[in-house]
Amino acid sequence: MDKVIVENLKVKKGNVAILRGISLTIRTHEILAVIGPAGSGKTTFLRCLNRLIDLEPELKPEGRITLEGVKIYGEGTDVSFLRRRIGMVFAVPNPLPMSILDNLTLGLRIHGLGGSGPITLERVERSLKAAYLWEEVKDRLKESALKLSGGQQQRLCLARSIMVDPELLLLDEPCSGLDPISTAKIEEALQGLKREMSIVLVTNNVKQASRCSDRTAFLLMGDLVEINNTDQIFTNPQDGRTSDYVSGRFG
Amino acid sequence: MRKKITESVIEAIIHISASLAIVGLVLIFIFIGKEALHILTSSEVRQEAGLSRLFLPHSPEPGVPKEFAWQPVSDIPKYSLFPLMVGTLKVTLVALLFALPLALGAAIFSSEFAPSWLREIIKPSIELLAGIPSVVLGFFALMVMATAIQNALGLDYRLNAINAGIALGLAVIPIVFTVAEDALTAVPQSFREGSIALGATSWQTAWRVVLPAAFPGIFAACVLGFGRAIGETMIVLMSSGNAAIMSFLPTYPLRSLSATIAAELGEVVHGSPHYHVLFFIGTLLFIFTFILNLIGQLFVERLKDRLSGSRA
Amino acid sequence: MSRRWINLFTHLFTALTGMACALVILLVAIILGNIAYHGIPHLSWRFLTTAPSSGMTEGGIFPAIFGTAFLVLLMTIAVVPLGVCTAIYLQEYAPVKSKWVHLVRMAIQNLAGVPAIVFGLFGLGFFIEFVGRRVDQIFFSGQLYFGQPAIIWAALTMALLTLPTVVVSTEEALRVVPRSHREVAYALGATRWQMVWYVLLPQAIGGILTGTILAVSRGAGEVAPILFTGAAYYLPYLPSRLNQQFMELGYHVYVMATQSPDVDATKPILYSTVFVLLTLTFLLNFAAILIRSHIRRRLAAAR
Repeated sequence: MDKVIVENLKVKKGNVAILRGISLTIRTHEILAVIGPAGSGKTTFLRCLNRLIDLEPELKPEGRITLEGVKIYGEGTDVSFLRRRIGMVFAVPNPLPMSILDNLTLGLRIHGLGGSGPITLERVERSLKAAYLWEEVKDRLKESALKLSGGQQQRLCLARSIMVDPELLLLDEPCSGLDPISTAKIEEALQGLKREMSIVLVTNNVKQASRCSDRTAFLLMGDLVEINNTDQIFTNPQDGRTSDYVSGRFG
Repeated sequence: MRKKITESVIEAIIHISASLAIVGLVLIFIFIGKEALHILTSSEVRQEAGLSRLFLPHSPEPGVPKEFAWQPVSDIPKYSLFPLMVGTLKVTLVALLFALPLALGAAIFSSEFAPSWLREIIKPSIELLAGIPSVVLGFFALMVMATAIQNALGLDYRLNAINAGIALGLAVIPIVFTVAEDALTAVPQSFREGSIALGATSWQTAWRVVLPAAFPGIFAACVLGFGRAIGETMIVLMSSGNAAIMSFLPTYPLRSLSATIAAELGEVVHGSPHYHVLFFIGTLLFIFTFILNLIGQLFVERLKDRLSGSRA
Repeated sequence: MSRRWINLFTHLFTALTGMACALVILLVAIILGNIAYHGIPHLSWRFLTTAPSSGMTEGGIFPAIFGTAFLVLLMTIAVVPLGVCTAIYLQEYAPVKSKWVHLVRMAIQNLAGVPAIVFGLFGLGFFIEFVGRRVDQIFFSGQLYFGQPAIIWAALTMALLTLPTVVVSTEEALRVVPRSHREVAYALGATRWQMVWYVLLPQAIGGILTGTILAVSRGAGEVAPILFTGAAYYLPYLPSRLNQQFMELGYHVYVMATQSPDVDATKPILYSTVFVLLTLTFLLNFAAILIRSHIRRRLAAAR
């Protein structure tokens, strides 16, 4: 089943095209990896999906994106509610300078779902467990999130984004600065999470894509070169550029 | 839906708040200018204190020679602004002569020569000076400095332009120092390194490279200091003697434009020519400091442009 | 130029600028030393807690301390929300590089340069003669309640004067919050105001506090704006309503120093009053500096 349908998505910055007409679908309960060299528009693509692109007025997305059949760039779209349904984890861990608990409950408070009480604590525990962080922080929830290590911080950000039960989770090179153990924990967490939601994983690490995604899309210079099942992309790419990239010959 | 309403209400509040700075500035101009305008529009006021009375010499009675006199509460009120302008100019000049070399020298020393531990002493000291209320500086000039200066120089008048000017200079130093120091430290380190690499000494580097590069900022510092000196009230009011005499001698007392407002507005009859003249003086001060501030800002911006390379 | 001359100039230049620096610091030390030396002996608990008596030659300065506190409290209530909102507008709401923003910034900078005495004139011409009179006409059938010098008008005048301080401080605090923190909130579905409320303000609280304290310090020290808007030489009662006049420390100093019939008798009191005023403003400034350096250190640590 298709969760998100992207049709002919174009983004321009002035006269420079960043995305040149991307069309693909994101299925329910899958991990879609988006790979490609730096500057190929992966992050821009991701930021179009939850309309975070709105923060950059010089970027104008065109085309059509629907989430469960509803246009997300339509008139009267409730962007706040849209972003509640679509969680996001950024490339650099960005916990806010407040306690671990306050970081986690931020989304709940924003959406008026309460910020304390037993139900919230249950949610906190569930999210932290899903992000493989619970054991490490369960006794120090009131401590500053900035005291955590980089890998812990990124897992906290993952937990924070799933606190409001998103249907789609966007990850923008979430492991780019992390050690292998933290990376493994996050990848493990994603395998668990895809039972509840769809996941788009932007990564510049080809091996990561091959390890943990169901399908893979290859972007190059703003074009979608190829999208297919991950094993197909890695064992039997249809496009020469794809095979060059996944075999490490450029980028 | 409720979220949306809250959001737009808050947005409206924030927009209104932000415009209040502009509204405030405009209101200041309107409400001071309005009272001052009577000098031109009201025939009653004009007769006693028209523009020609304010700016040209005038003889109060037939036969008496023409003069510049500020005597607003005498039987025949005299409203010549000349003695006040001379006083303001005199005290401002002394203040700048005292403050500019000290403040600029201190700024150059702090940014170019001082080791960082010394800078940690200099900057808070100047912040301390900036934090002294002007009424305290006025008090100090009146009670302590005036006597000391009179004895040291053997002057006839205890309260005079030198005393008031130095006290006023103390209030000017922090602003000149801060703006100038900002300008100097904004000059990229690479400028200095380039000069030193060519064999220049630190003095030559400061004089030939850093100062010229920071010049717009230094100039802005002087202009802003000038504006501060012109408008400052309490110091001059307390330490200048407040005699509205036509004398350019710095050893004589003086009465400044700003101090005149402070001293006289409390007793003046609302709506009298005197009242309107005081507001007119306020308008002059407002316009003059406004222009000086604009010039200062312009040069600070020019410095930023220059150092960021968009207008080399 | 020969090497020797250059060396001489280098030393001369450094020495001259260094001397300028030393002289400024020396002057500050002399002023503070003099005031502390003459101001401390007369200081006592009684002095701080009793009212003046015998025509200001005896007694304390409690009403002036109370009036100053009342004044800056009212001022703070007015200026902090206004200044914070303005800063939020400039940093978060305003379209980048718009003419209007430029205008607001210019207005704030210019407001900071308007002479204090002009604010006094404005307070009289606008708040008292215009607003106050209207209020009296509308609510008190023309009877004199608000159309006269009063603490509320003095406080509002002072609020306008200190507005730039609060705006600049808050803006600086907002500016250092990294963009990624804003994106976290937006990505979770926060509206702009929610982002400001949940993410920016908690981080900017130190900057806002710094600005507030600096504004209070400034407001407690300025005299020119309150000369005609509400300060009184002597009042037999403490102000309890917004339309009453008030005694104030700086004004007290001014009047006692310039209009006292017996300067020698009031001199110890005068010095102690100056010392109290100075201590008050310095403590406030010091607190502001401490908070600011604390924030900067924390920020540096977080990066």
